[in-house]
Amino acid sequence: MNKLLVLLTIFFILPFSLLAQNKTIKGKVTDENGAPITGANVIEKVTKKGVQTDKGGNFSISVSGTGNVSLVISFVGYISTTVTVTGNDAGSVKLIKDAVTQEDVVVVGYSTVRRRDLTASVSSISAKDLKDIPVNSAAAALAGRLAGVQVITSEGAPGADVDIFIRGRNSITQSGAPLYIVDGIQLDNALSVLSPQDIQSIDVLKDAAATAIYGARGSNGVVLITTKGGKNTGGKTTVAYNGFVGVSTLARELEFMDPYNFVMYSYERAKYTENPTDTSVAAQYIKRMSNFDTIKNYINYPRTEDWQNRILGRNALQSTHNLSVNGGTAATQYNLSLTLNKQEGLISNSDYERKLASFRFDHKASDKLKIGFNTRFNQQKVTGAGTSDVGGAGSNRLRQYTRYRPLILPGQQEDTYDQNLDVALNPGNSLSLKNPLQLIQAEYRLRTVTTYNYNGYLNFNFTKQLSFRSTFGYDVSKTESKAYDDTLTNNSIALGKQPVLNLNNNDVTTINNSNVFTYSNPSLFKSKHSLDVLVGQEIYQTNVKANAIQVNYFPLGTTPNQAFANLGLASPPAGISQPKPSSTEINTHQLSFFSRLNYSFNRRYLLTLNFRADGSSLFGPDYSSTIPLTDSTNRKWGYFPSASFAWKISDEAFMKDITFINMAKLRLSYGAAGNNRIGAYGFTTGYSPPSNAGYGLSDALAYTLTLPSNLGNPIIKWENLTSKNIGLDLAFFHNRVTLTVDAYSNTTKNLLIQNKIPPTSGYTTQYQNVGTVRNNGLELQLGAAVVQNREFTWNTNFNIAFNTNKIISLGKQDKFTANSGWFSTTNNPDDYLVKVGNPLGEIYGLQVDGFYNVNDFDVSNYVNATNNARYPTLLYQYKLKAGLPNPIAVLSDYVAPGQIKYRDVNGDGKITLDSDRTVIGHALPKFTGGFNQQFSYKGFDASIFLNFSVGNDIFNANKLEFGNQYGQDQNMLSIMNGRWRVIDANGNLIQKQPDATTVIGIAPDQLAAINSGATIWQPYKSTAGYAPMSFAVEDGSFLRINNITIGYTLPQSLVKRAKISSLRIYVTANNVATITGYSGYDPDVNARRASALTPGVDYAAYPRGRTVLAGVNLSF
Amino acid sequence: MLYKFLKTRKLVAILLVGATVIAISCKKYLSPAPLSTVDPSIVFSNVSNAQAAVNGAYLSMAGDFGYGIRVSFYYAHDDDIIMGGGSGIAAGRQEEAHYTLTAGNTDIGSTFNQFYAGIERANNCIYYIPRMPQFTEGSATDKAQLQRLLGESLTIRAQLFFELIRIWGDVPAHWVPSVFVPNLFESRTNRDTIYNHLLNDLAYAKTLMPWRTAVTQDERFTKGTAAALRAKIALFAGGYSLRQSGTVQRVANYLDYYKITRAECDTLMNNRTQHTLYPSYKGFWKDNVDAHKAVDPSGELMMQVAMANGTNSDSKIGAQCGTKINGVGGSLGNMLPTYLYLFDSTDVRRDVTFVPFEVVRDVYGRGHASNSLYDGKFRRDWITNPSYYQSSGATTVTNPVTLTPVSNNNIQNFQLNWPLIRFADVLLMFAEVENELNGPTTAAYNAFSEVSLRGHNGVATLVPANPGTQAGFFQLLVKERALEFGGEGIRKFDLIRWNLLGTALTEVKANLARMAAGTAMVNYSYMAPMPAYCTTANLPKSLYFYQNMPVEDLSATRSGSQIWANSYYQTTPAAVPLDITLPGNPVITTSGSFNNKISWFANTNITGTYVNWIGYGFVTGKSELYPIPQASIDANGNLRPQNPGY
Repeated sequence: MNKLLVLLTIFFILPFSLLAQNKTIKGKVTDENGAPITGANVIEKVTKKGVQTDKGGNFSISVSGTGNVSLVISFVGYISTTVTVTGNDAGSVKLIKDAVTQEDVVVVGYSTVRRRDLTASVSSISAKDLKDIPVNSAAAALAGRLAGVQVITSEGAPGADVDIFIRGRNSITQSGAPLYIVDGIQLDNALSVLSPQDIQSIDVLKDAAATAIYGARGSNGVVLITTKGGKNTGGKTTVAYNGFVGVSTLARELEFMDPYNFVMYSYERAKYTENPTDTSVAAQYIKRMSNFDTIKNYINYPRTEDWQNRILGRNALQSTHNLSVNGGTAATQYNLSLTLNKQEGLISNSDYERKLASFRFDHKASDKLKIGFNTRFNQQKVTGAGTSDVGGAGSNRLRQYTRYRPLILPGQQEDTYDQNLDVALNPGNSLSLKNPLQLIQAEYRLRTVTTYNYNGYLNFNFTKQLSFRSTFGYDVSKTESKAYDDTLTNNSIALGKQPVLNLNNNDVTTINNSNVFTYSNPSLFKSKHSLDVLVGQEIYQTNVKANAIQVNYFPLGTTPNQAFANLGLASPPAGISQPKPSSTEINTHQLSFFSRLNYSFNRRYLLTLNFRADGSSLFGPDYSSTIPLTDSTNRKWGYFPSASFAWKISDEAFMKDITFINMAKLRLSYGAAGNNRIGAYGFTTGYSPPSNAGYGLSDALAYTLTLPSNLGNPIIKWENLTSKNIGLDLAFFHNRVTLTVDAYSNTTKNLLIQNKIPPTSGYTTQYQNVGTVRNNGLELQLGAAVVQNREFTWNTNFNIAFNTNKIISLGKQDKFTANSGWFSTTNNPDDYLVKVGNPLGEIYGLQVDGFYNVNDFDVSNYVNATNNARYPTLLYQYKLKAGLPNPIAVLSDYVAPGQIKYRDVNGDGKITLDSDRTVIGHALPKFTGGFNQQFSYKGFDASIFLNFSVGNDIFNANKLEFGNQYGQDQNMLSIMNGRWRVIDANGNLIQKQPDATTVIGIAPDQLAAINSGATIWQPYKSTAGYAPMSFAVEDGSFLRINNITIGYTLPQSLVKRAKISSLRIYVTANNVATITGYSGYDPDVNARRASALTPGVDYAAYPRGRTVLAGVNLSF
Repeated sequence: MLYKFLKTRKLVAILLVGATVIAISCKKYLSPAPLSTVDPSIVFSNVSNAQAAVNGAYLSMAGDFGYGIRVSFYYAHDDDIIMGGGSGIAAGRQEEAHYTLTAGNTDIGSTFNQFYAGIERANNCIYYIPRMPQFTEGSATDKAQLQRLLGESLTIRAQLFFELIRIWGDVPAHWVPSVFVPNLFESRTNRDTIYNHLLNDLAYAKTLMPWRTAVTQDERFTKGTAAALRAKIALFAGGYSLRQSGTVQRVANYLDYYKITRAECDTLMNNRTQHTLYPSYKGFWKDNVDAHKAVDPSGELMMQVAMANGTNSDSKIGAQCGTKINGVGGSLGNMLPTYLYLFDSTDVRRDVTFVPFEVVRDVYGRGHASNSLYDGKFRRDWITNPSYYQSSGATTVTNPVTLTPVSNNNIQNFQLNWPLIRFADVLLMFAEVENELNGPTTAAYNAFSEVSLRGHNGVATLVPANPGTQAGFFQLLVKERALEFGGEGIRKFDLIRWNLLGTALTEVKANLARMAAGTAMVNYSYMAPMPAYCTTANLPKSLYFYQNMPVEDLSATRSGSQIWANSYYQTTPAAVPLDITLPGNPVITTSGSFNNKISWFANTNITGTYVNWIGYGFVTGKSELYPIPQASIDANGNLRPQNPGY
């Protein structure tokens, strides 16, 4: 805290020093062709005072004294030059273009390094690249841009979560998210807190040589973000405005049955099952079952309702406004940025709004002391329930918005509430459907995330070589989730159809402080040896507080706003009490020491050594516990060393003659990093009061303590990643073509897995250090300035990354299975396999082999007095031929013609989940990448960006659910129009299962003839239809035209009159087109993010829109 | 100034010192005290926390996946008296009832896990409580309380294992907290081994717990509970069950187990100050169980699961079963019309067990056809203190009831406890094992007749005579247990332990078909005959009911509703009866919205509702057990092989 005070004081007390000025030097800065350069820095060498050139390249600088003055003139992308001026006129200074973009400075852990001196594998993206991508999410802007950085958006909802994986998945069940460091401060939610417009650069550290300095938590890679600071503008204030508006539309639709086919199936179902509920559903449409002939009236039914389009088909508007004010002198720079995003979702009640304010201030108090302060406020509001939910099918809404019956019954309106649906037709598992228009209004959701970041640093140079830097961050992120369920919802129905309110608060406070000494000597004893040493210490602590309140029984008609403002309005009926509120608070602490040594000889041979020790409270023993410990071994500490070496081959004498190669550097690295991203107290089994529960002695909840579902494991310790990397950086043809190639092998040992343990233990999971996973990969990044002349430039950039993931060991186990939980959070058969020798993300299920045909059955005459009388036309019995596998153990129906057929993988003559599930898909891609083209011609600029992913499968659970009809009166995908029929063209039953072991039908040739055109099986009517199967696995490879932008910068001559320094207008189309074989909404999907074991599930994901935007970049 | 201060490098010194201090105290820094979780060392440091941990073990029996509805209703049918889940095989509950279950069923895994979580909670209590200093050295009160808590934990664990074995057969067993179990990938333990362990546990638990009258009376277990459960477990241990071999068999020394049952029942029956029959069968349900009483004055409720309003603490009993009121209510306990005719016309239990009507316009009965009869012990209109009676608002009433607003019409939880063992069960268990051990002795008959006598409102002449043979007395008990325990989740498991489930389903299906066709029912081969007047073809094809007859009249002598205008046992009168509840007594309306005539015998809907579905997938040698849940087998391959037939 004291440190903060010091900073603040310095900040306010220290006046900006002003120096006496004696003369003014004027001049002009141009490029090789004589074109003026705007914004070049002109700095007086001695006083470090500086100004920038104006539009015409002209500058004017006041200097002290009257003698010779040295001015350093620099501009990004040009070679800096120093001119000595005697009088007042510096004349015209030409800057020579330096195509070596490699000369950029790269941020690495706790310091920066010039890219040419880098020994590690680092990918970067700068503000220049970001400007072509007018999106609201910084994460979305990264998609496909960097080799080896995979960006997966969970779904298309505004504000949706994004997962970033660097070089594959190194952990199995722990978060695979990289570590985010913003201006030196660890910030977990960085990509949602920052506006892309505020980002100066993003550097992604990929190998352990670079990440080991972060030791803890560095194993998934590190994303370093530098925000825009002020500039030395010589005191002038620059105001810039960036804004865009646009509209999104649903990019793709699923095909559902039309009214005719829908009613036809209702009839068919009722005819077959003879179940009273099925019959009553069919009777809604045709009065009574004998009216089969009236179904044809639905062929051109006038009251069709396309719910998908009605609910998800909005023309969703969005707008973004970003205003920044920045400027500064050589000593003091500031940047203020204000952003407002508004985005409508494709669903009418889902909106997103973000307000962001950020202020950054850097001040050089003296030659020795530099301080800075950065404060950020971010408020994000997401309204609407969206389509997806982490819970099972019953709480997901895409089904609600698409499966409602595709027609409006006579006497009903589009938004009529049909009570039958939630009382009589509730198929269980809360899967009844409601009128979507009604439901949308009945579910009020508002999630507000408010973030405050306060960061500061102090940099003190003791000598030229020795400096100290202390960085302090205090971040608060408050999430408030409000939910209000009106009478129509399942939640409310369970509580007497009175509205239910849920209020959840989740506050995360983090404190991060690092103190680093750096010693830097570029020329030890005036030799060619250079040495940098860095030593530091860091603490990182988090406090997570969560509170949840549920309030039931609001009076009917209470609006959400009234309810939240008056919780006391709710009054439960006699004898019922309100649920107990619940809360948790968890503190985690981490303490670290680290050091780094950089040594180079002749700037040709570069060596970096890192060492870090991390202590974490997430590991045992618990010194606060009162029980004596049986095993007191300290497992809190992890040690992470690394080494890397680079050889600049191009500097060697033997390379002198090879002129087309401008730069060649070989990099080698080897290192370790750690991961501790597990829940707190994984090492003990603690009791806690159950949430709103207790044993009901004498009808009241007694004081009760229960055990968690996770069994404590006292011996868990750090997960450990070993990374090997070999890389080559090349630049050819006057640095016009650059190529970076990296090959790596990352092995993670002692994987921290929240392992499934047998539930007979009383627990379902336990953290264990088991197993090893390896990622091998190759990355290639190729850039070329294809054309570069005064009027026309063409830059192209291509990256591709191959990664193979393999599980080397799982400890004592050979394999285990995992459940994506899309249908039920507890108990559908497991649909993913984790197995030694295989990669992660193996989709596990039954192989579908078409459906049973008449030929698969032995047919005999059926003689049964009762049933012959009931079904006079069904006189043949169908018995599965000997030797064909019977799926009765999987399905509750007896095997019949037209039933789905599974492959008997183990050949035991029957189909069981236990022995016939096998790997049916691989969710991880073989390779991913992107391809970017940027053009400029005079004032025009254009870019087109493509990204791709190849070789990944998607588990399309939508197709499983929507292709079956577990609950009556729910629409199905139109692929089911080709189903095997159990009625003939006149609506007569042609097949029936009269008891558990008998299937009867009409004569086999007739049955076959009627179904000669069948392309798919009879839909399921039970939950057995949701067993994982290959039908739902699809190739998710895609090539997407992600972004096309065309811009025009107005000529200086024109805008100058309006006192505008630059004005660019542009139009952009995002998500323009996707080439894919995938049948769902979008192949870039990951709907079940809670576990890393189940990637690539598409269930109820919010569909993605296609967006067209127009915008303006304006600066004064 | 500050700048100078900094320049003096004091700051550096301070920071270095600070770093050192941090390093020294890093043990503490890296062990922040847990706030939201309580260490076992704290839980088992005092009696009230230990009690809370035992409550946690109790809690595992409650809720949707415990006895709240799944175990008590969904898993306890189909048998020869009730069909569970309704017509059809699509829903999970229908699969569970009609024996079409697959291992992937979404309910059974949750129950399996919840019961094992309860065993783990009990194991922790059983492990730690005796190690608490107060257990041996505490005050007399502390010691007594802790001993009781230990006894309760042993009893809870026994009940959970017992239920797991009934549903799944051989299951893994361990008796200490999982943290002390070296290999959690356990194989299945033979059920006889587990049974023996439980019987020993309960013998010990009996010595630890007080009688019910010695302590505050609530739903906590007492000495009598342990004794009754021990009797019941021994009865099942000596009964038939489906073995891993695929055959249904019983242990050779089954009579040794029956001796245990006999001894336990005998002790209880000789201690009537603690537990005896409540005088009125109807009053037991209406005035005690449905009135939210924690215990009944006679102590007939020996063992029950307490329920209260809270997540996983409640039950759906009475909401998903029982009758409808004003159009709302569940009907998962579909009572077979053939079962109604097992009762003789004087048996008061018939009209408690059955609700052949729903309640409309708040209080009036609307008769139901014979293919939609409901179970009646947990009927909504009997629930009081508090009541969940929803007014339709449609009428003024002559028979006032406490009305709660109509907005409660979808409440799913009524906080009704689930009775696990009643004293009547002790009596009939005694009669059964006494008959097996010593034949139909007077002692056996007396125990039986005590139950039957109450069932006939104390009229001794209505109690069936002792058949005098062991086989005949057994058949009498097979019937008597059906009459006494309908809707209490007991029948199916009784039939399994007698190895009669397959026979019972076949025969009852045949009788249902006869009822549907209007031909005379035939007596069952495995139990005492129905009253002779029930096995004729002259049962009424239609029943008429009065339009404005309250379902619950207040006269104390009547056991059930008087809504019917003609008898269950005589052919339908040729002329439509008069409606005594309407002014001027016109004939009963038989059309329109007041069609007060329902189909009864020769009702073809019985075929669609029951004959088509009851026991749909039953296969002997398979269906006696559920499959081990797929999720559990996925998590632990040592649970293989799967149960026979799956």
